[in-house]
Amino acid sequence: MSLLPIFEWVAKTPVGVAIAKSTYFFPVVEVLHLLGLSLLLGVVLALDLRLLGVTLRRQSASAVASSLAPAFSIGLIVAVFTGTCLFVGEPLKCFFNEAFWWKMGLLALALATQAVLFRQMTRPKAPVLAAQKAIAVASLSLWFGVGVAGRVIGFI
Amino acid sequence: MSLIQTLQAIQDSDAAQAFLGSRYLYPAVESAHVLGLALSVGLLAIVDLRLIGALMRRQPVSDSLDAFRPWMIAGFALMFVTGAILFWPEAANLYVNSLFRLKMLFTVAALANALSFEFGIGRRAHTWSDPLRPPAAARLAGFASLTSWSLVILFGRWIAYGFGAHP
Repeated sequence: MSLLPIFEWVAKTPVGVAIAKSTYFFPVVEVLHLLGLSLLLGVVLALDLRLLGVTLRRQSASAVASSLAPAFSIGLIVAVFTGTCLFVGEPLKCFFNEAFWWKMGLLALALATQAVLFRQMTRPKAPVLAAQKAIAVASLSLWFGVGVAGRVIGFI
Repeated sequence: MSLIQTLQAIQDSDAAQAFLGSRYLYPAVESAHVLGLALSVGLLAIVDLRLIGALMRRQPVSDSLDAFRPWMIAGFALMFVTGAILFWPEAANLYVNSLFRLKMLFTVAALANALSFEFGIGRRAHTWSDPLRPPAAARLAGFASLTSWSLVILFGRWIAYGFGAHP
């Protein structure tokens, strides 16, 4: 079964039509998307650097993870909400854009990795193991991939 | 030659136009400029949110300042280098763009704020009377930083929509 009918339906909803017609909706929402992803990626970077043991060593990994978790959630909520709004305005462009599917796939993997990473980091006094460092590298690479794919959507 | 003529000559040079029209190089530099936000503004936002007391309240402010300073400097170096390269093939157009001027204004304001913090109250972060609650001036600097860098992102993104262009 193709997802195309669903995407076509989204494009025809009143919200989809209104967003597609609006001149200022995209510029405003896209800036909010950028602000959200800046915070999100900043937190991811900070967590991964701590897990790799290259910075913030004065604090335990679990303290860093639990204190940055709210910022991660806020960045993610803002990025996903604004991203969904942008999607609703041009679902068909997304459907036929290869980079969009790469971005969604990488995003799913990045979120799964992040969930594992938070679980690892919030274990009390967990030693920094090679496996944790591998997770940090995977997290950095996947989020970087999400960012690149997201940017490429606009180039295609 | 006036400034605008010089900028026009820079913009019209063969090398600049070849770069602007390149299939992969220009998009790559532009992507590095956008994704560099994570290293620069992303980490900065964590420090600023810590300063205003919205994040990591149980850890000393000096910890996050010391931990992220070199990474943020690397991030901003990336932003300024890629930004200068992107300016090159559109030098004259950007010079007369009102949003570009606003972006530069707030970039200078944000840098002045960062420098005055770093060489002023921030330098004494290790000796603040309460390591968990920064003095009012430091909290104000964090708020000013968040506001001005957000505006830099706003104007920067809007320039790419063609807003602010000279008629």
